[in-house]
Amino acid sequence: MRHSANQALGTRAGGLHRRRLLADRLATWLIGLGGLSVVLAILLIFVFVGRVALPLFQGSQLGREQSVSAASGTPMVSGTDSYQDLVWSLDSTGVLHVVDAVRGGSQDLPLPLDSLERVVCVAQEGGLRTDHLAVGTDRGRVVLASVRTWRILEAATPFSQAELELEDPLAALDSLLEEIPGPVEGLAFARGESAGLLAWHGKGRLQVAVEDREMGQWSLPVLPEGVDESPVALAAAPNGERLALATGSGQLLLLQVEDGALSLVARQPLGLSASPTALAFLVGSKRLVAGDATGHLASLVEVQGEAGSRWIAAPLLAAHAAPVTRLVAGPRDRTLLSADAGGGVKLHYATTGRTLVEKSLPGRHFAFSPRGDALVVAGRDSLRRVELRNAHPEISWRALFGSLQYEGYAAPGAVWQSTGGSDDFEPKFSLLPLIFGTLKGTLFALLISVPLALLGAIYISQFAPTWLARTVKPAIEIMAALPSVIIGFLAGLVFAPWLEEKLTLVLSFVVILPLLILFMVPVWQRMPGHKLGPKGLPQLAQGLVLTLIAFLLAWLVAPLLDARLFGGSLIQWLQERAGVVYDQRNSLVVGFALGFAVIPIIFTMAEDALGNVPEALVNASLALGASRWTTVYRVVLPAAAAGVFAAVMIGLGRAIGETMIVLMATGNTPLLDPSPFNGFRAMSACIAVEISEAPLGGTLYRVLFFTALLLFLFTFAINSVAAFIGESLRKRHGRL
Amino acid sequence: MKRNMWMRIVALICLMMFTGKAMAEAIQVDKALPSYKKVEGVKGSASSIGSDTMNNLMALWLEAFRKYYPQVTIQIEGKGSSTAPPALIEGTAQFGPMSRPMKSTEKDQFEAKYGFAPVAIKTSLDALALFVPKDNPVKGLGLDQVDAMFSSTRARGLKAITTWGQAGVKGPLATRPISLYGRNSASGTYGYFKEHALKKGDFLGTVKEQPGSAAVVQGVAADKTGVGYSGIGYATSGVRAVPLGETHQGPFYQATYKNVLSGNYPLSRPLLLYVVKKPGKAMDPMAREFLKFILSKEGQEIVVKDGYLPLPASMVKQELAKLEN
Repeated sequence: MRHSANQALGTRAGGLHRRRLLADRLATWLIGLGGLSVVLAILLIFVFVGRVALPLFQGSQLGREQSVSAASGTPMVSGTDSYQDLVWSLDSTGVLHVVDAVRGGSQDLPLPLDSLERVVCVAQEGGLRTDHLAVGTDRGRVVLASVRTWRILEAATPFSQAELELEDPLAALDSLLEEIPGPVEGLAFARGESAGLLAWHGKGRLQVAVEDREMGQWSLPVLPEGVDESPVALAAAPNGERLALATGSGQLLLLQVEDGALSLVARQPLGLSASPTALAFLVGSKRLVAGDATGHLASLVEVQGEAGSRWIAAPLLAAHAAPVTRLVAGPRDRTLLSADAGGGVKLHYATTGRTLVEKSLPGRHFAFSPRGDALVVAGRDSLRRVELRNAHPEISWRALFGSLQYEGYAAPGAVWQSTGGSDDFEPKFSLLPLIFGTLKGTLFALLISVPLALLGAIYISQFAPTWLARTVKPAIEIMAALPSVIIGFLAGLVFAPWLEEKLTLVLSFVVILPLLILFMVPVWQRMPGHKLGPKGLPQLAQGLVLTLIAFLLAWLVAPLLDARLFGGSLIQWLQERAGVVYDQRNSLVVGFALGFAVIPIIFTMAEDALGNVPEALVNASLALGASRWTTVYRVVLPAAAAGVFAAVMIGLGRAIGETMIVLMATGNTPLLDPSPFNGFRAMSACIAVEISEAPLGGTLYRVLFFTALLLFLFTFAINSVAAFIGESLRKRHGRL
Repeated sequence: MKRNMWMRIVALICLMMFTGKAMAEAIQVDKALPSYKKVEGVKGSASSIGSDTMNNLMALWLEAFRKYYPQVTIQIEGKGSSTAPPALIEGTAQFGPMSRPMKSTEKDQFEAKYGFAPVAIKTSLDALALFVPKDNPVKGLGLDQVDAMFSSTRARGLKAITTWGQAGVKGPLATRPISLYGRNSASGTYGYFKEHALKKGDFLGTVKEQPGSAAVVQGVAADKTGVGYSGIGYATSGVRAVPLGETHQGPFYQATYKNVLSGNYPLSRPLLLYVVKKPGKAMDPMAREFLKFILSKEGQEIVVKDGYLPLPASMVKQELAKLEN
């Protein structure tokens, strides 16, 4: 009996044990799984963000090379349509060979030249559907023609067709043209939205014709004074409004077309040591590149001044070993192809000065496809098409983290301006202002929130009466529940205008309050019959009274300060005396608003940490005769150091990542200026503002993801450092 | 002395009444516009994704259109002009409202998918206004002055303008620095202003980018030294639209319908609706009727109701022709 009872007891206990074990194991499993999936989720986000950003750094490559046909004759110019269905070249006898790359076969379209007349030079202006050509012959004649292509969609495999259209706008002006008694030596041709420009020279004579595209009329403007030297190279800007001439002595002459008249706007050295051999404008018409006989390449950008435009030197592009023979501007961005006499070809990105691709690619003529995704290389023996992968040429480490010489800027700068209204905009992707903005905003938020939150936590956990602690803590936690959009909105539209009006009052209050407290403490202590008790209403009342007095003082002093010291207004005084411009949406405003969002976090965590210090420690310190403050300072704070530190770090993390407040309360101004009286653009707000505009897979889209990655790494690094320091603090003070 | 003051006050009140009347002058749609006629058999569903400027307008058009054809459903989403081209390309939307023309990369992607170019229908006109707080006395600004205020590259060549005094304002405001407000880069308004007022130059870093047109106007109203650009439809009682001209020598023109149509007011743009239409083929009847409705007298009256400017009959004729071929 006894035995069996024992046995029953044993089995019951065993069952309980087993159940506990099972529950234990299950819990271990579940918690482990939860933890692992959190880590996995973070890793996956990291991988996803990184995968989107990675193609930025993969560089540009020349891909598959395809020989389209064995060319006949000497190719003068070549090109392709936007689908690359057709590849064409024009030879020196004036015959256009159009090769159908889809269906095979070819077509010859002749220009109406005399049988012995030869094409000696061609200028090309590419478009999506039409390539405009200006053809110069050995008899000093210039013919305008265009290669027009269109796509047949009805076919099973769509293909394209081309036709050669002739324009003879100069025929009407023929009698006025200066006759060139020999071959055309150089040609420049461009057609912009409202203006067209054609210039050619030979035998020391220069002829310019301009087109009013709205009226469709050509005219021959008079050459301005001082344009007498015959050029060795010339280029027309894509907008059709300016002409650049390079002289044999390395001088650059810039002519501007305005209302059909030509004026000389700049004459300056190109910055090349040898005689120039090639000249090209890049997309946007504000950047010019010249090559010389020693293979050097100089790049110039236009800067508007009050005295008109001037061209300043941008960093040199990588030089060739042989004389530069051809410069071809990319159709979409600042990509530039340069070819030398030795068959070497380089692709540069002119803004960053980076060399994208270097290759030996012998040919007489080079052209980009209209979309910039292929090159057409026309040599004496073959016509080739080469794939070009050049998705993000704008990106280099200098572009992201350094200064570059941008078009229109008087000096190199770290600028963030990612989008423009038009295609020929030069994007500026410097992340420095964004990183600086994030740090600036965080700094101001912490300057305001850390002292308030920590001192508040110390007071509430150590000094305040219980009823006060019970009211204040939940009240501060409710602050955290306020949506950040609302905080940002109120800060931007209510607080910012108020602060601008009451700046002197607020600043003097901030100065007067601590001074007043410092002054009043000894006074109070000397008061007869005064007892400094650690707890109770009187102490709280003291604080409130002091705050009120400080406010009254500030309210009285502020108008006096304004009137006597600052001559009416502090803001005006700052601007006139210190050169500091006060902006209504400034870092102080954001600091207050962001501080408002961060205070509850720091307060709650710090208060918990301070409250968790064992009562025994506090009592022991007090029993040894230490005052309440000494106990807090020497015993409670060190014991809770790890927790308090963690609270500040979590607050920091929140301030760095906070988006809506920054977005609404600042002006999102990408500045590199530490002044507290102007705004900033934070990384988080920048992502939020721009991601909706960024075309999927484009450079801006990927740069924004890269910014997100940086932000992620920032927070990761801060948390790691926090964990590390927190751990060492815990070890050091763990003995307490 | 006292009488003088009274005279001034009377003059001020007269002036206020006068300007108040000028502003309240109702815009009439062109009488030559065709009235919309209901046709049979129009039904189906479609969606529209694009410009937030045009979001209200699209919703109002749809509401009125459904009175003729209750069986039609159109979903409308407005997150910015840049969202229209991808939606048209992927076929998730049949209508793409945009407050700016498509960029060539966007057209490329469209053509790569469909093999033909998208059709842009002008639906209405919008004037971009430069707003200042209502008590700012500035009489008018030339675009070159605007450029000198807002641009870091100052393509129009004037010296930088940083205080209101340099912009011709006298009084206490003259020494105060100008506080600049603008739209964020996602908006068509940002791009339009950059291209037309700044002549493709760059904005200064100190231009405060606001996430919406209303936020710009609110910001300017609360900032005595402020100036900001946004659509004329967003005007409130706290701000005033500055008359603009090509150069600082004037003449300056108010952003009125008359000045926009005559081309005197320098910052106006069409609001576009992009559709997928194969050349030479008839459109889907529902889409065609919706566009015809927008281009009718009734549709243009809705434009006026929403604070934008209607098309004149001559322009409507051109747009209707686009639907036929």
